[in-house]
Amino acid sequence: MIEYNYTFFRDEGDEVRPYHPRYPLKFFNVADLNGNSSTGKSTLMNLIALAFYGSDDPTLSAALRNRVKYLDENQKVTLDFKVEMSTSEGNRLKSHVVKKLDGNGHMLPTEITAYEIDASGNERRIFKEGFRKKYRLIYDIPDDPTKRLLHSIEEIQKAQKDYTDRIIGLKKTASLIEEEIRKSKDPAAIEEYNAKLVKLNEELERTQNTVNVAETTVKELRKLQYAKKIKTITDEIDRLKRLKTTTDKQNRKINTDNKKAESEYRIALTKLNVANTALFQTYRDCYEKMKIIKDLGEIDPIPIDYWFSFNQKIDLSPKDIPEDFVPITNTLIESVERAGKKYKSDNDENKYALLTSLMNILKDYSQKNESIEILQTTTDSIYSELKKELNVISQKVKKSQDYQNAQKSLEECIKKAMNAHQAFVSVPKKPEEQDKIEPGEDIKDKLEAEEKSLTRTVTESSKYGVNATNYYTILDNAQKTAVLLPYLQMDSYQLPTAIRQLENDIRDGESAINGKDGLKSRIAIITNRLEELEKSKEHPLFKYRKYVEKIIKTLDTIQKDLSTKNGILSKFVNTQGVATNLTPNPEQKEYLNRVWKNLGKRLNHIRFIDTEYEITEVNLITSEITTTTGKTIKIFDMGTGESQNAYLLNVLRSNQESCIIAMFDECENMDYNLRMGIRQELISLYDSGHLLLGLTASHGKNEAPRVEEFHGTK
Amino acid sequence: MTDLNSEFITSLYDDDFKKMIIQLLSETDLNDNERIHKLVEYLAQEKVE
Repeated sequence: MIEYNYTFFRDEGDEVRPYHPRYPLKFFNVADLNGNSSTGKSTLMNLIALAFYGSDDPTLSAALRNRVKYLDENQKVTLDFKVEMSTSEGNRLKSHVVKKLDGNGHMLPTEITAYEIDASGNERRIFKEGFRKKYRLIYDIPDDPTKRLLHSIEEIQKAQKDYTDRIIGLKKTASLIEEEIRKSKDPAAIEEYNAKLVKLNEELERTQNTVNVAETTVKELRKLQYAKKIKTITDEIDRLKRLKTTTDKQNRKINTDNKKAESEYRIALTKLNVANTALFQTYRDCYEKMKIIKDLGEIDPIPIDYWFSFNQKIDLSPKDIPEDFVPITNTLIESVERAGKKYKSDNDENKYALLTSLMNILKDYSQKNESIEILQTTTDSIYSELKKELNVISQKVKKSQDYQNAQKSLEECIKKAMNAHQAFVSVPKKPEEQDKIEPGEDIKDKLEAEEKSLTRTVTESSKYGVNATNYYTILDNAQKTAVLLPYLQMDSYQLPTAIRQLENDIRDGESAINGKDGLKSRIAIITNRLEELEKSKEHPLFKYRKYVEKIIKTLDTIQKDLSTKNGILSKFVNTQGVATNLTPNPEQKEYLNRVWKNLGKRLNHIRFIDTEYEITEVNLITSEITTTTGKTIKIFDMGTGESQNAYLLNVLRSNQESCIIAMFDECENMDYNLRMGIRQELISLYDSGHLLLGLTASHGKNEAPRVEEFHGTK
Repeated sequence: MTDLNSEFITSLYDDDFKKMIIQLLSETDLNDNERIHKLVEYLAQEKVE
């Protein structure tokens, strides 16, 4: 049964007009409202739809939904509506709709309070979502048959979308379960992580050791490097100091030697001067004696005279031989040669030789550049010859006492000359002054620079514990340190390169340990993961995790597939009509054939002319209905009544799990038999416990409002 | 009695597992967790690799 009541007020500007029910307030679940216009048929249906959340029910047609929505949202309508209905099995559904103004005259939101009551009387409030899951509100007006069939297509599309949503929801749940499984305790993963942890820790230890050894080596090499540097600088300082000392000493000796040599030279020069003076004095004496010899008439007087005149003319001092000495001497030589020729022609060769020797002496003197050295080499022979000649002469002039005296004097002269000659021999050459080795500014600068360098290096090296006193110990110790042995032979270029290489190794090692994806980071991640795994609980589906993966993949496939199928349906059939000009490909054709068959199932039976047919498929592209008897009926050949029947049956049969509240307005165009067919379907649904209300409305012909009930077997 | 919508969606697939998924989705008294468990049970029973 259904029981209801309402008070309904509409503000019509000049008055607030009340509306009250004009049909019975209680009647059987399957019934027909029959009455003229404005008797409240549609109002009752709209209120029932509103009471069961129809104002935003997407399954209702837009026109009817707007009618319900009008009641819900119209600011000029207030109402209070109660309805309760029951199934054949005693389950009940009731709702109370209140729409009213607040104290200030503002419309409050519509309040809908719905309850379901089971056969035992247990009452439970039911909200929109719950209602739509369990119940189905059908509210429609049968009209154009093609449009109605297209609505069935829409329903299929909605079903596909609805299942797509369910698939998405299920996939989300499956993904959450998969995530839970992933976080759950996994003994194999724990074992694997432990093994990884052991390996990583070993690698960490190895790497750390390598870094430590490299760091120690670098430190030792730095010490070694500084020790070597200090040694090099110290050695250089020592060398420079020694060099300075030696140079100073040598210079002192050179100075002394130079002074001594100078002194000796000056003494020798003095002696030489004395000797020369004596020598020339001897010559002059000699020529005096030669004059005596001339006077004896033994020698041609001409050259002697000439020489004599010359001797008187110049001072034969070795220091200041005049510049015209050479031409004068040459003139003398020529004279002597002329005289000599005379002696020679007289076969007086001794006299000639004596004169020649004398001339040679003069000639030597004329060659100032050869100077004393020439004199030294010639005097000996000159005097020897002179003595010999004089001896010869003396033999010839023995009888003359003067001559003997002259000879004696001459011998004395020769003796003096010889002494003078001896003096020449002992005179050293003027010493060449030895170059002094100056310590020089460069040595001082170098020494200063090296000392500064030493200070700087010692400061730098202090952090390695190296200083100017212990570097030898460090160098000694390095020889005994195995790790340093390969480096000891390296030169000053190789060692820094080796140190840089070690430092690179250290950096690489530290990066491998502490870097972003370094060993410590990886160890921490795995340790955390292990801790999480140890703490986590075992998941009941753990051993079926592959199945969960498969479920997700399959759901994904179905989701995509349904989306594709909706695309196909939209392409060929939509609210604008049917795309008869397109040819489906095999895949599309297969899918559409399934759709046509499903449409057939939805229609199930139709009455065409006077015969009832069981339908196998409805092909909207060819606009044909195929029956089990093989008959093909063109959709457009069907009258409106058949179409309505076909459509309403389709709607009623489309969801046979839910409990239905069905209302069909404006059914007056259906003929009696068809209308009865629908009612029979409604009765059948009621009898099976799946119908709460099956209400039709027909426009009466000047009849008072009445309700026609259609009872079933229960 | 059968839901025509679920029957239609089920009819789109020949694969039993997919059919089962659609069937479970049409059973309104189940929640998704229960559906997953039932699917896992099915796969385990079928010994799917």
